[in-house]
Amino acid sequence: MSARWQAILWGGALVAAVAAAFLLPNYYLYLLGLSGVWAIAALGLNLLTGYAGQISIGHAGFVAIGAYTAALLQGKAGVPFLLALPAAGLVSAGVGVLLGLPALRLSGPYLAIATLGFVVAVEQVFDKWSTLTGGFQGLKVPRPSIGPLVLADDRSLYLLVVVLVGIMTWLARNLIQSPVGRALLALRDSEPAAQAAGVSLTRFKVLAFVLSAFYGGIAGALYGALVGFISPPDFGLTVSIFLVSVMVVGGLASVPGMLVGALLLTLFFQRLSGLRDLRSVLYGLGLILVVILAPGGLGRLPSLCRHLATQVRLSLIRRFSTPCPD
Amino acid sequence: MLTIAHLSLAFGGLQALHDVGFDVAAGEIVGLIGPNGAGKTTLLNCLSRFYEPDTGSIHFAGTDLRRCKPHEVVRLGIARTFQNLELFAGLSVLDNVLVGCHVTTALGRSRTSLGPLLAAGWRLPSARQEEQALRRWALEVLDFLDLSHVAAWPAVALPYGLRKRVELARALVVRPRLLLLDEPAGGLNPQESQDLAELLRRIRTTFGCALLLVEHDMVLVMGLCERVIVLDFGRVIASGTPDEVQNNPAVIEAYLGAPENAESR
Repeated sequence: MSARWQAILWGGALVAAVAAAFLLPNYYLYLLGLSGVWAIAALGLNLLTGYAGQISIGHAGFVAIGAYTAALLQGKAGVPFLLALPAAGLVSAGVGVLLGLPALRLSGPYLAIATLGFVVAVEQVFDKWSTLTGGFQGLKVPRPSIGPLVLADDRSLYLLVVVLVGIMTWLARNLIQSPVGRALLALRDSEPAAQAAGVSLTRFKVLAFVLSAFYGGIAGALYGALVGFISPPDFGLTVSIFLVSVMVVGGLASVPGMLVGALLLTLFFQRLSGLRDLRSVLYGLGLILVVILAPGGLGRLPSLCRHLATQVRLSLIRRFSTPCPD
Repeated sequence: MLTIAHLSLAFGGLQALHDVGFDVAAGEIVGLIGPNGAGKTTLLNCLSRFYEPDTGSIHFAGTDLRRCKPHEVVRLGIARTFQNLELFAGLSVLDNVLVGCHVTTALGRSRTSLGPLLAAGWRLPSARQEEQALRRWALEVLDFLDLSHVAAWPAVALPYGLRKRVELARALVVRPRLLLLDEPAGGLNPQESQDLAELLRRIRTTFGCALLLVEHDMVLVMGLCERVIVLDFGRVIASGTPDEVQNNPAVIEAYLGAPENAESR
């Protein structure tokens, strides 16, 4: 796709997202806002897994750390939202360093298990440290205020999410198209060649953890602002798995795919909650279908369609052209 | 410029390198040959710091290479290609070459990565200018290697010969002082390998770098190299000009086995 078309598509998506704030009923704005939160978290996970090739099923742990940091800063210390938000990202990024350093020695399934341990441990810590976090009863999060403006209704909260999704998407795209993104991709595709080109494995694997943790922290702070209440199970293992499926459905190493995947799966989960167990069956079926039919994820659907069209055209040409004598 | 002395490395009971020593002067083309399993690639991997030798020293332009980490080697001016291509499969040809520029970027030079990271994230003018300059230079190198027409292609979509040249481009883009080539002619036909010899000479004159190549293609080695070093079972058994090496009885024995009459005697 040419750069101009991409710009037109991104611009169109932004206009549609803002227009939705004035057209859709409140419940849908809430759902879209939630999709935006998970999109930010998935953008971060994608930097780590899709780009740097480090598997993590503990990403909800970073979301939890961000959510509790922002909630406690606002609720207990009276820090304004605009400071609590980046602080949540930074604290989470700090924990990302702590997880990234031991993760250097692990890869593949071993890393996956270590990150699994991380998310389980984080959930337990927030659950048991009840004097600070309220334990399993959860924590009420104050409504975010920007200066004198208190964002209390669904529309303004949704618009806040749109702005942040916009910024975080733009940052991710810029990073990916810079030497940073290339270094991450390089160490995913060939560690020896990346090192021979001067890319330090230590630095860039840890950096991938830090960046993805930062995104997770921002998503967590935003989740608290949007929902108004957080408790440890909101960020458990199932959420981690949900984020991994958003990434796979959207397409590894695809930025727009994260937005599409988060939107689809969040709507799917929330709208079909009435179906109970059947929902899980449909969900599993949907995942399998996506993996089989669009293995690159939905974010790559346009190029997949182009490829299919070429294949059909070729087979038509083969069928209807006169066979040449051998 | 490169000085290797008394280098030894054992993998368990297998002595892969035994007291290996030789020099490579600036701008020189040196061939490293020997039967399969002689330790040629092992030696290159010691230079790239992927392997840690048990004993011995490697110095490059006054720096003790054994104190370097693998990613620091290219900073000194040593670039390499790989025997079994190690291209970045998910990247375009141009992006592969741009990764090769890593150490020349602000990101690669920075101690903490933090400044360049923020500059890249916010697309500051400094980051944009650097990226443009980088692309111009990378395209120049691709042009030099007749690869500009495939710059936007995914690297894995190229035929084998072109992929080898992309690796060469990725190594050259840092303007190395020493280029390590692991079987650059592997899998090429005689015509292609003749073109390769021409290209390698052109690289030496244009970039002014020394070449150390591991190679099995004897026509290429004898026609191109100024000096040849022969390894067998991890030992240097001969070194000298191509003529000297070809007539050295130890070399003939390593490749062809001892003459029968010598055994019966």
